[in-house]
Amino acid sequence: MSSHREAPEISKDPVADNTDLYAFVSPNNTVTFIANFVPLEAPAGGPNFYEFGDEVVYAIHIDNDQDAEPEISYVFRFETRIGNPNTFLYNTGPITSIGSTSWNRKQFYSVARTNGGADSPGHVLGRDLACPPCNIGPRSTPNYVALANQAIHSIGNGIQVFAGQRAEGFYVDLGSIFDLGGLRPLNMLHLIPLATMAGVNATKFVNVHSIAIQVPISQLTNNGKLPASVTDSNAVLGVYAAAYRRKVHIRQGDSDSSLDAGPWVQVSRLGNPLFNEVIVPMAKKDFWNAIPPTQDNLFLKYVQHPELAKLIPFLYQTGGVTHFPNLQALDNAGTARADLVAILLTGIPSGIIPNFQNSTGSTYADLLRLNVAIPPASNPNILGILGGDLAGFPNGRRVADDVVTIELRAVAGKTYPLVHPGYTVDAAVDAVSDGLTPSDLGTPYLSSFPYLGTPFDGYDHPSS
Amino acid sequence: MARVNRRSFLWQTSAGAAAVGLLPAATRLAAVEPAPAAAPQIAAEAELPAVTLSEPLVAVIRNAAHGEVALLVGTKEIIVKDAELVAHLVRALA
Repeated sequence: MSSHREAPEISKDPVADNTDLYAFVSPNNTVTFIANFVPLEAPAGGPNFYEFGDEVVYAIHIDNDQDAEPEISYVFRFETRIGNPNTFLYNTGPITSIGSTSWNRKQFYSVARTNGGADSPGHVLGRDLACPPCNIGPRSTPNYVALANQAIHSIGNGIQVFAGQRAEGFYVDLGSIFDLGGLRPLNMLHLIPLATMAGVNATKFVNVHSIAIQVPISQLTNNGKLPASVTDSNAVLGVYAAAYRRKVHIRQGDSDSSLDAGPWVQVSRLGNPLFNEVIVPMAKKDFWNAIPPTQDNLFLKYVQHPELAKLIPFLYQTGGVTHFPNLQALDNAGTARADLVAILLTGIPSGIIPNFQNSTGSTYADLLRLNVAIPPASNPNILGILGGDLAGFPNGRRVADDVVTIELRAVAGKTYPLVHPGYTVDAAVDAVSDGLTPSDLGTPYLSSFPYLGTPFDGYDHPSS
Repeated sequence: MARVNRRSFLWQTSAGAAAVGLLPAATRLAAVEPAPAAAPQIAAEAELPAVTLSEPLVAVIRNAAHGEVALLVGTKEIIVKDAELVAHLVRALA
């Protein structure tokens, strides 16, 4: 998936597992950042419903001077408070407000802005901010939308924050993709053909925990101003999210007396969707999660020569003839994929796509790069830049962007003409898709902050 | 995080080193750990300098052969080389 359970070690630590990262220009000259954690929450997963980790530090990092190191970090720390320790229940009656005494296990958090880094000195922007409860069902959370709205906090200087459960916003046909790279709409072209059919969303009816923050652009750019133009060097932000745990944790019988010591160490990170999932070899995924983006030159060869670009021509063939001959020839020639390097590791420089650039310089780093001079699209296209919509992925990432199709097509050769105009894209590339749209999620996105939809409740979705 | 006094610091230091640095010996640890109120513990405490720690300290023997110990307290980690300390801790597990 985008980055759900994408590496062996973090797949065993869900509360620190960064599953998706979004960054997009939102109304009133703001940028909205959303970092998701806790993958694949079954809505009925009580009585210990999902929550953030009190022993985890969460951060959204922003590079605004093109060195791939964060100049700004928003750092979130959570604290769980139990009202009644003598009951096993999450709630002892309907939760009608986020301050309800019948809600027994609440979470609160602080948010600080630092000068880059999760453990750097910073300024606390808000503390004792309440999370909403999980969406339990009609008896326990009878008006969930109102509860969630109470957990949207304005913390001054035009900043809004929200941290809590949301409906999963990322859609993907995992069941088919992880079955030897199958794309149901292309089933008949596969090496092992099956009947062609529509895609099936594996993330339908599951929830996730989101940390969302909306910040005025002028508080994010290096010169403190709105960029003058798309080509303004101050216009591009490089973004990644990460989670940290203390270096040592010692169990001593119960959670109250457990012991944490030592520096905060990074255990999960995420810039572009699917980078660690699809680009990084399995044996190196845990290492990748532990290092900063500035060291991603270590992974340059995997971007230049992605394994997936070899697999696509092999898996999609009929009678021994591949449906991707030009991609296969590109790969057989050992061609370094400069297009993918630009999209994933450096940003796209000026002069490649008209009226667009999101370059962050020459440092190879997996960052989600957002040109904040490009306003929200009046008619968004879920294929983002591939669909002619410069406000979408890989210019940042909006909640609805079809990053699976975009990245599959890019790897299949769709974007190679950006660096080699003479290359002929295989005819099959435009059909590459897992065949899903946001309508396959089962609930709509919100039209305003925090944008991801109302989480599914366990009563109505007990077997997700 | 629980605050510690010098007595609990001493216990946590030795337990931390044993548990983190010498896991194979964990099953023998209980036999050599002194009870917090035992007389030898009190004597050892009296010999400690007047150190105040606001958080537990964990010592990890990273490389016994080189006497290399990582000391973790708060969000800090320092590496020290003290072959005598390592030898003392290892002897305690024998």
